[in-house]
Amino acid sequence: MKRSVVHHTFTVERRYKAQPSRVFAAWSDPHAKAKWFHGPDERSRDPLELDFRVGGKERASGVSKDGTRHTYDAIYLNIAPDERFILTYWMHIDDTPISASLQTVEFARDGGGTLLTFTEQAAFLDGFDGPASREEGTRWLLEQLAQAIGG
Amino acid sequence: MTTETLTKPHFSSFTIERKLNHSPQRVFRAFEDPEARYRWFVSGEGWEIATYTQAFEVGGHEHGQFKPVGHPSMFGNDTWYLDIVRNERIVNAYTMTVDGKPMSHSLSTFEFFPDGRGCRLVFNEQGVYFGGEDDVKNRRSGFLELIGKLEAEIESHP
Repeated sequence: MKRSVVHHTFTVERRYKAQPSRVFAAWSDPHAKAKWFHGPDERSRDPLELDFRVGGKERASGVSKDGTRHTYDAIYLNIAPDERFILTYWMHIDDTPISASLQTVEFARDGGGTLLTFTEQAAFLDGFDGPASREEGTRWLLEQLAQAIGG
Repeated sequence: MTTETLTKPHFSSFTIERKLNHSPQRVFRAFEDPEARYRWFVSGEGWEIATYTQAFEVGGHEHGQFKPVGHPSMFGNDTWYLDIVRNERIVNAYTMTVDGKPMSHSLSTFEFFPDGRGCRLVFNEQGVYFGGEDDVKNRRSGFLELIGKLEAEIESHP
């Protein structure tokens, strides 16, 4: 296989009507996160595993319509409740690693709502995924989150 | 549970490229052989190593604690290996702490390319640094020093 690594950093900002503690809880509470954190076109999905504490692990895995299994694994590195968390995550399609990332999510009060700043520092492996589709997927997920918490 | 940090996060990245006079296989061996890696990566003049557990495998978690001789602060390193392709690539995430507080979180990649009879080593780090751009400069110079130690390790253990 021709190996490659593409490094890319991107930031997405998103405003929510809910206050920071509510938006933060949508990431830290396993039941709340399971409602919006999943792939777009899944035939089946495993229950989300989430241990939200420093050193804790997370796994989300589902089978897409084309029959491939997409798996997200993460380890939490840094947590400041209602303000920020940092994790590292890596993705597989079936047994093939496709990316590794550092993800920082920051929550700031914005009027009565929240300004969420999502920063991803990624290494895309062997051309299976890339910056444009990851950024698009992130915007889609942040919209799923908005729908789950009512804006 | 709260992570106590020093200041606000600062995002940055850097790349170091170095041509080495040894094959990718030989250079990679200095990473995967625990005794070799202890010599060039873990131990260092002026540092006391309190603990360092090696786990060089995908999914492996390494933990180290070390302090400068005669200095009260204890530094910590936790590393998780995310992808390893023998002789070609290493991807890891690591946290550095001082007295238990995070200094930085990083995603780093080492790529080993054949280059004539030698190896072109490309190190990239993307990170969140709580001490700002000074931390990034120090990290970069730390890795330049480490790559010098890697070269010396290979020269002295042919």
